[in-house]
Amino acid sequence: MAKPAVATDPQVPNQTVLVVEDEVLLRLVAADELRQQGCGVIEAASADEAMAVLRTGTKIDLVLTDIQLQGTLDGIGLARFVRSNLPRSKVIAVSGQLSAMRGNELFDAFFPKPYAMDHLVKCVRQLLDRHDEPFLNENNIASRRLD
Amino acid sequence: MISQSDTNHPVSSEQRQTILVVDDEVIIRTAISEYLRDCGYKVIEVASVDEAVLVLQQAEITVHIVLSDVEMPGARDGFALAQWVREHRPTLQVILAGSAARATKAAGELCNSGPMLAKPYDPQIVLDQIKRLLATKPTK
Repeated sequence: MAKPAVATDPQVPNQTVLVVEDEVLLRLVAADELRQQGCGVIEAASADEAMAVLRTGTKIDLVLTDIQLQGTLDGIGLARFVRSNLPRSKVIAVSGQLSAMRGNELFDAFFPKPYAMDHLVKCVRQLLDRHDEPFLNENNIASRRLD
Repeated sequence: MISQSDTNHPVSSEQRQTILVVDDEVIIRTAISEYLRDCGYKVIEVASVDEAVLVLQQAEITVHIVLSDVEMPGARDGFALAQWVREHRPTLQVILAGSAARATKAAGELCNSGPMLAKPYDPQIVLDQIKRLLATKPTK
């Protein structure tokens, strides 16, 4: 499992990312990279687990979610919940299917799989640094892929 | 969330070993994993036995101890994981945890470490067990 070198940034402490991914090897790499960036990371293997975390009231600054997830909810449903209930939280979606871009007003950024981990981490950092920026529309979401 | 400072365990460099935490209850898994990270360990979290086996099959991922819940949905529970480890990774040590209603004796026979831990977790007991195992039987 190749891990791209990403410089540690101590400037984004005390921010928590909820990583929602049912592919465990992808999840642990993403979580590990984000922890190295100084983020707090909570890992969920499904949207149902993510909902269980969100219902505790834990402050989540950014949700990084796969779209295709097993269980009662997929990544679209999770993003919709976040938009409706946690409007200050950012959402990054990843998917192996470009058709998952449907409903993309729900995302601040979208990465098709496979994605470059350093690009993803850079995007997380940018979104966490700009907490009050309004949601992106369909056109500029693509430009936020940073690749 | 439990913090390392709550139990006054100093972090030492030799503790930077990897614990694989297996639990399908995300809140419990997150809490015990964060506690162990605060204690200085690297922690890999997985939500099922299938995920645990997938991680353990990766040659580039080193795991020193498996801490697994017994009762999990799916075809394989914590006992099945302990059996898999015994067959495929016999030097790896397993700590099983579960409610007292489950068969403690069976867990003790499956684990290198002896009787399983009770849930809900007492973090200090978990930590003590991990320390004891790492001290007595280093894993390659």
